[in-house]
Amino acid sequence: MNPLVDIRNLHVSIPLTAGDLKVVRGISYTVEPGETFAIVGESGCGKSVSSLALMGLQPKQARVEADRMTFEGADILSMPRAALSRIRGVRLSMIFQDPMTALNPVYTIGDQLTEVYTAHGLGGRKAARERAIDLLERVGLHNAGARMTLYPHQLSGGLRQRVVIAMAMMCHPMLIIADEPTTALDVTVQALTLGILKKLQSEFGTAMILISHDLGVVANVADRVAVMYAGEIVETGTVAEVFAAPRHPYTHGLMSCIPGGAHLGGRLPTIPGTVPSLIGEIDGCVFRNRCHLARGACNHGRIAERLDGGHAYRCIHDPETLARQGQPHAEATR
Amino acid sequence: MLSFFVRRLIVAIAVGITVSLISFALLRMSGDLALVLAGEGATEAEVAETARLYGLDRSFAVQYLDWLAGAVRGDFGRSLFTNEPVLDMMLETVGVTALLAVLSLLFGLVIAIPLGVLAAVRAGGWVDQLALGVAVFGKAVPNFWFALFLVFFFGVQLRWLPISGSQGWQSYILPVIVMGTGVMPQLMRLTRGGMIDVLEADFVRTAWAKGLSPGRVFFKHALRNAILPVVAVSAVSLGFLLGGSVIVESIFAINGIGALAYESIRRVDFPVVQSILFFLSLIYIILTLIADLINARLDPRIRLT
Repeated sequence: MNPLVDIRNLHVSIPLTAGDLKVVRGISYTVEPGETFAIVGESGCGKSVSSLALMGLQPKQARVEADRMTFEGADILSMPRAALSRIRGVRLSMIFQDPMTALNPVYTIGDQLTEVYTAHGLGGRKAARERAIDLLERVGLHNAGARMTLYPHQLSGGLRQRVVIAMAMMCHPMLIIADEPTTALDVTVQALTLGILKKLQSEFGTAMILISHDLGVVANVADRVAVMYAGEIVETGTVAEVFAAPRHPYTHGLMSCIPGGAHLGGRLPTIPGTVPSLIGEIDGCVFRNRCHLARGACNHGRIAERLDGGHAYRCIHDPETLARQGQPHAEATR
Repeated sequence: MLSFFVRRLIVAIAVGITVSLISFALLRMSGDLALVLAGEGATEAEVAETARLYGLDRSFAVQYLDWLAGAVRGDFGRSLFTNEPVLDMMLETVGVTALLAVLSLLFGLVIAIPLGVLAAVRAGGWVDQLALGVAVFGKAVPNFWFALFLVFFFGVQLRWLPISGSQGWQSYILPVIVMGTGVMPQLMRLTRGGMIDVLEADFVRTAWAKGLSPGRVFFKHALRNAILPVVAVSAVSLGFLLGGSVIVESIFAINGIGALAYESIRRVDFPVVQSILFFLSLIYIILTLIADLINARLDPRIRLT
């Protein structure tokens, strides 16, 4: 079976006076129908913008290049605007981070839900209304028929995000891109919202690209995961592979930053240093200035991808070295 | 919505009373009306007699309350010059002025809104530059000069349109262009500014992500959020057009309330001047109230505040 999404060597750069800001530096990944693929990384690592590019929603100034970027076999890059509009919201839809601002404040939620259905000619107003009510009930807005006339400001953040989820599902998409779907929510409703999203996804057989910086969320929800750092995917594999045996020092460092476990009661470890400047090319490993294993060979060229079954990583060091010299940062405890 | 309306109405009434009080006081501070009315060379006894005749010898509070009591019953007194009831004089002329003002505002909006949206969508592009040029022109050119230019070009040279009077719809075209051009710039720039802000908003990105057409994204999702200040300023502009049409009315010899006000000031016909001031501010207040209601209709969040 062909992958739903096939991205090869995607570059996104934003021209600035100081030079090109290269926010995405040659990433490749595929998403299979029905699976959940997570992209994790810290703010500014390019995880959001790479998925916005897939929808053609990158910032206006951004330049997008790729050897291949297809959705359901169709080339997104060469697709005319009108054709892209026809698949957006229908075949692939998006859930944004902040439900407080993602809905239009001056229209009722009913109007915003039904609009996407009728605008794409999937049915009349009545069919759209029935579908919207059904979806609202499924995401747990009871008495949905009466609540269709509510405005976004009359709902709490958690409920608004459920409306956004229902909206993304209106046209029964093949793929949902969820950009930090629970980050803006209260911790108490995060798990609930994630559960609703997961349930709908499996009922509809929809694939999902989940963008998150929350490793806990990823571990719970995703099938496969890609770890991004400074515009590159440094490691990718199944959640089990990557979480149980990280092969890249950055992933390794991230795991050791999760509160609890071995550090309980101690000082929480951090990764020292900061992300390199994204202007221009980076010679050598993108992580080398923060990596305790860095040596001469890490300083030049692009680090090749190494494969271990489906588990891929960009690091020249052997997994054994990493495991042995594990977490020097953890030494900072006490 | 009802309580919103009631609260706004109370504020409007308070503003109306304040305005009438201030305008009444200002007119009496402009000089001794009895002295002016009695005419040059009048004796002191004649001035006192004039003051008594027009009730100007009473205290300010009594004069004001007397006038207000009449005004709320629709009795604005009589013109000192023609002895006609002031109300009749105002009603005869206000229709023409109101029509002129409304048409001018519509003309301004019809140009301002699409131009503002286009300028915002392609901010910095040639449409935006052109729109800015038009706005600067519209604001910078004095309306009497623009009016005379149009009269000369379309009336005298091309003979397409009548140069004066208020008979037939053709005679409204030039005045409407002149006055509409005066209010268009701020409406256009407001639309543009609002749209530029709103186009960056998350919900506009949501609209794109839903695969909606550019027309729907710009005009349904963005414009309705950007238009609120435009509605408010439209009401103010309409008030400005009603009260500020004096010059344009006199250039085109249109028999409106602006021309009446001008004439009455020249004749020291103070009951007429007083009443026109009050009448126009009343219209202004009502327009602002209507703008508030339209905005509450457009944006549900306003109904709460």
